[in-house]
Amino acid sequence: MHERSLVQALIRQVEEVVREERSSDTKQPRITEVCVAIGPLSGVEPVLVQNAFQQLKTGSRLAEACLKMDKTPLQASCRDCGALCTIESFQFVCSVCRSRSLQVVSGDEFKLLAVTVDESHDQPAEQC
Amino acid sequence: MSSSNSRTIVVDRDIQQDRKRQAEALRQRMTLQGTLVVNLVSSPGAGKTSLLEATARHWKDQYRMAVLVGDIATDRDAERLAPLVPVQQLTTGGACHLEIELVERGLAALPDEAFDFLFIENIGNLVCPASHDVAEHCRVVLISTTEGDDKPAKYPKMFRTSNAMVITKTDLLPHLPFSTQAVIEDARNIHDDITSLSVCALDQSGIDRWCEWLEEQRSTMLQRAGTI
Repeated sequence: MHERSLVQALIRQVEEVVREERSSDTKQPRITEVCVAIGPLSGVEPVLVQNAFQQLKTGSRLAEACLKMDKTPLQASCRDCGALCTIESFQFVCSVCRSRSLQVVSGDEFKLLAVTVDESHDQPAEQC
Repeated sequence: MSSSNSRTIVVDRDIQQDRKRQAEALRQRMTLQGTLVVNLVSSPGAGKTSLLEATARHWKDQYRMAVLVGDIATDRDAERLAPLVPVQQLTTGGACHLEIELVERGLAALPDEAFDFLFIENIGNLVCPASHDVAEHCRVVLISTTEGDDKPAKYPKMFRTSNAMVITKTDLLPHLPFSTQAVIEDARNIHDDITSLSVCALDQSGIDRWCEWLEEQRSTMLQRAGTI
C-alpha cells in the first residue's frame, strides 16, 4: 500500500504547478479538478489512489478538488516487426509475430495530466 | 455555476519526477565512483539476507561491498550482516517499500562510500518496491522454491522491471512441486531479457555464477562511466 506516499507526491506537485502558474498580482485560485493518468503497469490501484486522495486533500489547497483518473491501456511496440500491440494479462508477446521483444509505449505511467482552477472567488465549489 | 473563470493547466508530468531525478543524480554519482548499486527485492523470507551473507563469504576481501537493509520494525537482518560487511539499517516504521530519501540517509551513515558494490535489501514485498527508483543500476528479484513457480505472472511489474531473477533455496527442489523451467518461461513472457540464476545460499551452490554476473554488471557500468 504505497498509494498514500504517491498521492502525497501528487498533492505537492499540484500545489507547485498552481504556485508556478499564478502571477504575483492574482489571488489564490481554487483548485477544482486534478486529472491523472494511470496505466495497468503503474503499480498503483486506482481505487486506493482515489481513497488516499480523498483523505489527504483535507486541509490542503486541494480540499475542494475532484480527482479524475484516465485509465490508459497497456501498449507496446514490437522491436522485431514494428506492430503496436495491446498487452492483455501482462503477457508481453507480439500479437502479430509472437516476438517477446517489446517496448512499452503506454500503460506504465502514473502522471499528472492537468489541473483545473477556478479564479472566481464568490462561488461555492461543486461537490465531488 | 458559471465556468467563465475556470482554467485548465496542462501539466503532463510523472508524479515521481522529483524523486526520479534525485535517484538519477545519486546513480550517476555512484557510477562515477565505481559503485554498482543493486536493489534486491522479493517476498518476505525468500532469502535476501542469506544471499548477501553468501556473497560476502564468496568474495571475502576481493571486493568492497556494503549493504543498506530495509526493515519495517527490527534490525535483525543488519545484525546478521554486520560481522561480514559494513551495513546500515533503514527502518521504515511500517512503510512497505524504500524510497530514495531513506537510501540517501543510510548511505550518509555508512563509514565511507568507496565500495565496489552497494546492495539495497528492500522490504519483503513484490508489489510496492517495483514503483520506486532507489538509484539502483540493477534490480534483482529473488524467488524461493517454496513460494511456488507461479509468481512472475502474479507480480508482473516487479518481473518486468527487474534485470535478473534469482531462484533461491534450490536444495529443496527435490521435495517441492516447483518447476524451474516453468518459472523462467513465466518470467520471460513478462520480460524477455531477464537473466535467470539459481542459488542455494546454505551450501553456496550457484553463488559463484551470481557473483560473476554482478562483476559483469559492474564492468559494463565502468565501461559506460568511461564514456561519460
